[in-house]
Amino acid sequence: MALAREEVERAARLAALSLDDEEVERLRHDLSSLVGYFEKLLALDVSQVPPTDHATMGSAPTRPDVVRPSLPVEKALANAPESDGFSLLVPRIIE
Amino acid sequence: MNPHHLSLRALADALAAGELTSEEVTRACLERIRTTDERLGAFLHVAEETALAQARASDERRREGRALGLLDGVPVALKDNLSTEGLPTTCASRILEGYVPPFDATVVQRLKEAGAVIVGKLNMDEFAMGSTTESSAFKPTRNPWDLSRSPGGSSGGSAAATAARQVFGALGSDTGGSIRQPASHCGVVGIKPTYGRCSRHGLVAYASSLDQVGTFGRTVEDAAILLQAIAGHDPNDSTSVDEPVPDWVAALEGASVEGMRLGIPKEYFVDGLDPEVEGALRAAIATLVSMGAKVEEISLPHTEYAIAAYYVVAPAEASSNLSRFDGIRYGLSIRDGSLRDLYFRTRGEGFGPEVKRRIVTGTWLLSSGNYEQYSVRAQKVRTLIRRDFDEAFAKVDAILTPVAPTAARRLGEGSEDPLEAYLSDTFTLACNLAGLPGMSVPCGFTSKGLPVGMQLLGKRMDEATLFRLGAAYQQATDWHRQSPPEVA
Repeated sequence: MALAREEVERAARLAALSLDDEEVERLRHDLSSLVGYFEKLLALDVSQVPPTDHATMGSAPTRPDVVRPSLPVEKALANAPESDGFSLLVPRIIE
Repeated sequence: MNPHHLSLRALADALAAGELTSEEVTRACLERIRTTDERLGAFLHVAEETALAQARASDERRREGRALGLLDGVPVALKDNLSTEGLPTTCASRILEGYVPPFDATVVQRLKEAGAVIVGKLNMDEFAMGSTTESSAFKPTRNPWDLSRSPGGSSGGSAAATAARQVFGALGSDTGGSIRQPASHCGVVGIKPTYGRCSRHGLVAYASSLDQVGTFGRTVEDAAILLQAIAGHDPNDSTSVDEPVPDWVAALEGASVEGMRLGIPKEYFVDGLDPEVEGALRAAIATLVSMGAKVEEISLPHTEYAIAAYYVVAPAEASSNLSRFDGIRYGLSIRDGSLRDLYFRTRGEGFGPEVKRRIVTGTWLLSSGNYEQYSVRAQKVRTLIRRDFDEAFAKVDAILTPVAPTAARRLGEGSEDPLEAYLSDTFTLACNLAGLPGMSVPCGFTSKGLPVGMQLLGKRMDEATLFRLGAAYQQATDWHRQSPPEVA
């Protein structure tokens, strides 16, 4: 199964990844080969089978809705590429 | 006393008897890392200062009669996808270069509470995506049994450091075989416990429904001692199972396989399995039979669909998990244009080729039109694979299989074709899809002197049977006592 370049470019756009032409071509090739292999799954009749989206979880557990301590600001910002000591700074998005 | 060839258990006993101090042993490990790691490349970060401080604190506790247990003062190391407060955590990726987490993963916190000395952070495939440790953005790790070969992966650093006696054990993570396969290739024990047995809080996520933290040791007992310390429910991980953790270590006393029923799945002994690997496994089965185990052939009929199901589920979850690396809060950030450029360029330049491949594959699989066709279908096939195991475990106590089709491969020998590379994971993936515990135990060597492991799979929450089986086997064999020649 051969995928079109546009399909790879669309997926990369959705994933916010910049790719050069060579990478797109390589991924087009790789993804075509993988999807060809995934076709194997189409051979099975799974119409009556429920999906397993998690290996062991029966139901989602809950916890009491109480405030707990969170990271202090200086720790949360310690790895920030750019900050003013109180907030994370990002490029302007509204002109 | 040269501590390197002691097992973790023997070291714990020597520390308790006052024959060694933790500071002496930690210094010896740091020295061994200095003399061997240029060749081996197991470590991404050595935490000399904090390790020595932890060692001295351990010695002080012991002097005051407040020693914490078997792990107190024992030097260990961590795969670099486990968050460590104050120590770099990179996942072997450029996008996290320089990142120092503000908190410890729960499993790391528990090791520290048990008194373990954290010597450093270990190399891995970038974001745990790979089976050779060659996709690390920083360097490959080499196999201590043959430096021209890969240690396996993705927890290659954890397996190599344990095998080369740089530390007495290590933590890793296993999403599709990333503990068991490198353990097999490096001649050590590696266990991936039941999904939910250990907290994933602070483990950098790859595929959340499959990821599980586990342990490496030179013996089954050593791996059990480490798992004992880190296992158990954690309110910070809603998928961690709220069930008591049995005393695995105490139960190993006089472990026997007498009367144990072992299943050998015919789908795992197929073309492509190296004859020397198969020979080692058949000999191990014969040994277990001679010790009183009962062996029967079983069938896991959906085995052939495991690779396809896994390589749909895992990339789909990865594409979603890795969206958090956006260059805003931490890590690499390329800022010379708009916010959109920041996202695209940071991710485009920060992630390596294998990670990009899985993100794009996963995003494609989750996009409209493909979601029902592939992603939901793969999850249904996952149900069939789980049912295969449920049926098998109605008849047997544990399942024995190969870990990998061959022993360790040469560095650079891996295929350029991703599909071919993924096919070598065929024996380890189903365990993760079904959420079961799996362990690799050394069971022989090839004619080139490369270690071979056997995989033991157990019922959900039944790590105890795997430990008992493995420990009894190690009482009867000495594969695990061999040490690698390259870093003698």
